[in-house]
Amino acid sequence: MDFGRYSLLFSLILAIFVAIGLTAGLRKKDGRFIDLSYRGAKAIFVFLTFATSILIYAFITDDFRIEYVAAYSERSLPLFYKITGLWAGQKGSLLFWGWLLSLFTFITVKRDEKNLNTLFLPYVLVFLNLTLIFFLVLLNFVTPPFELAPIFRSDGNGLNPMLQNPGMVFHPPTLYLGYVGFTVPFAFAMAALVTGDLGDWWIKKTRAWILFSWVFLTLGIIFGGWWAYKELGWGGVWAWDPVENSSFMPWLTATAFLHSIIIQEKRGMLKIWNLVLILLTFSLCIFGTFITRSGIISSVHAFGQSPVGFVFLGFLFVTLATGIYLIWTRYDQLKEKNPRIEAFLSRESTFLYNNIILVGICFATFWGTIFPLISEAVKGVKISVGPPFFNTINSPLFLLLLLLMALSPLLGWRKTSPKGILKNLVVPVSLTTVSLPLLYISGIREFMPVFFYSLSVFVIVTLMREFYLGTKAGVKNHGRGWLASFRRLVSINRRRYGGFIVHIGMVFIVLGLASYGYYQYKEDFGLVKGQEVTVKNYRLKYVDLTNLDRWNYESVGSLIEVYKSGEFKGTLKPEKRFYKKQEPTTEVAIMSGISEDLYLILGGWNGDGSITLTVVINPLLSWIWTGTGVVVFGIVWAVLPTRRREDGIDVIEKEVIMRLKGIGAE
Amino acid sequence: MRGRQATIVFSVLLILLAFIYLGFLGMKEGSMYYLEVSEFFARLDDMGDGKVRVNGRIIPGSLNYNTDTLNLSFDLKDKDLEDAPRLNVVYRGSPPDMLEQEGVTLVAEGSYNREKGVFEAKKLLVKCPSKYEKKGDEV
Repeated sequence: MDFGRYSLLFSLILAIFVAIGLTAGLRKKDGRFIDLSYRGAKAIFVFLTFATSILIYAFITDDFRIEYVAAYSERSLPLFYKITGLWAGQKGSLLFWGWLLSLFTFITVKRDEKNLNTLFLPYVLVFLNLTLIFFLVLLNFVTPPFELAPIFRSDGNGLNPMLQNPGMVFHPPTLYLGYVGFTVPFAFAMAALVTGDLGDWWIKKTRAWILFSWVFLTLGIIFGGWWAYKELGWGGVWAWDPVENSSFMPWLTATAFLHSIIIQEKRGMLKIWNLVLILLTFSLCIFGTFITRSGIISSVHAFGQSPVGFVFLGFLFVTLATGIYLIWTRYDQLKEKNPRIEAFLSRESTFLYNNIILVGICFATFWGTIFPLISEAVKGVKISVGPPFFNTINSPLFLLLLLLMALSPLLGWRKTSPKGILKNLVVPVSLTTVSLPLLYISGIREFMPVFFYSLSVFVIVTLMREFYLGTKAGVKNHGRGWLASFRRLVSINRRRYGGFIVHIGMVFIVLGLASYGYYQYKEDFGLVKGQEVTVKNYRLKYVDLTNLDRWNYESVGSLIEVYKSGEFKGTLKPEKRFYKKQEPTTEVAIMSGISEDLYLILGGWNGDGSITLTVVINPLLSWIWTGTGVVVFGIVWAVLPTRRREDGIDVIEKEVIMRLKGIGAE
Repeated sequence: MRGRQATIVFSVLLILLAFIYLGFLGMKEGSMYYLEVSEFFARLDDMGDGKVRVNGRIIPGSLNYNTDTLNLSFDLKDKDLEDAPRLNVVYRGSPPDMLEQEGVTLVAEGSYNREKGVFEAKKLLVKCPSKYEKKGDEV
């Protein structure tokens, strides 16, 4: 325990030494100081690993002398949840955050320290180390995780039962991995600005980091939604709550960044924009932490109000000021040799629109999130902005994104002749048109949903066509079999086809969200034993009320037999659980399928055995989870190492693809 | 070349205009007052009949739930004020978790029925006790 405290203190001292060493080394151009700093940075990781292990060990051994352990654990808690107690609360989360940052710093240093051509590394380390110092100061002086409990306790408070769910176990660490991960490309970008070497080297160097952080941020957000769906019992996954928004905003700028760096790599454009985007992404990660920890905006997720939030706000201002200052000093240099977009319809321009829309969604989300603060400051009354605002503004923007996803692969770089585009559009557009009557028959007739579904079809068709044309080019050109050609296509050009796979996954997610958003069905029933109700094509029979006594909770559950189209599908048991020492929670029962989820909530019961049951039907909701899997697969596919070729595809094959598309290779 | 640049600038402007328009539309539909119970009563007269959010603490003992009609009713008051005005809230549907817990705060979204003098909630948001909230010094 004392060891834990001391290793935190020692890490801070080391980090300060690293900062001094780097300054000295860079000033005097002395490599020895730099080498020492590298060692120091690596040693911090060792010390923080030690500190983190001690806290985990304290959780496992029920060391309730430590206040943090007492606050979030108890003897009867399953081992799994004891270990994850590390990030169950603020102090442990920050320790985990600091540890991740030190780990990433360690990897960054390790990768390039032996490399002779690494003039940038000391500068990168400066920024990583400064961020680390910030966290170490917090851990040592503001939120010390090893603080002792004021009095002796034989048992802890226990973990809030709502958090005893796999979704909540994975949600924080994945989100932190994303947040912390973006520190690395941010540090590289700042290093590029300081050194004045403003090419795309920092993007190439951090491409894997960027994708890594993006995928974890995505997972973090989705796990949050998954947890809300299973645990909160309101039948949805997303409610535009400030806390949710604060994780969504950096995701949006990161997604914009992910796309615009491709433009810089290919065409040397958008240099300043990319620096701004990574600065924004990193700042929004910090801003999100500020919102969630300060409690400044009222949220359903009532995080305790703590001063830590405002420390983050201070850090945010410092970060933004530094970033803006650095970009400003290099402004003239960045402006040079910036080629312009040549055509209204080109792949570059679709990327440009994509960026504008993503940043637009981010701005709208930001506006809606902080509006209560603005209105209170200006008009003296809090005006909250609810989901209708976000949906009204963001849904059409998401539709535009879908449209761009479909158009982008149809267009070539630089210029595409309108004739070529028209020719490429024939198949996708006709298939999309065919889907319209099908949508009409299946009951999708409202304006917005029709757009969501038909554009999704449009995207999927164009993407499939890409795979098809690429494969066909291989078959034509090399006389390979279709399967061999397909395999070669996707494994030689991992970035391109990995990206397409990610897009397919995103379409699934959008479909899931739109479907449940527009077509969720919800109804409440009061039922006596043996009573049946019919909800849409389901017949539900309330059979019995049961009591359960588990070792750390008791529960009341109702047994509901589910018949779908007359066929028995199984028995669901929505419950209410009473955890010892905690408030009761609703445990929903979900029957998940490809076409829809049946979601039952036990509202309450009476002495005579009658119950209140809420029945929710969410169409296509499980597509969100499937889509996430596809997205992750696509990203993994894209980052896996590949043999480098010109743009990944053989030049000849690329020409064939272009010809097949009628674009005409340049 | 100039013409093409102009097209791009024009299309970007178009997107921005659409964006601003949507923003106004959204604000009109989505924004509502977020008030404490006492503020709510203070503003009752100059407020329209639109939707509003009221934040308050459930008065212990005022909770009433009819399992046959699924009608839920309770009184809200400001968190810290002792002799604060009470707002009677009615809601139809399953009550959310933790309502019965003492001192639970909640946001009711809906509109005020002036004739009956009750607040008809369409949505109830119980502040979920997050992991970051300290359990307090009850020990």
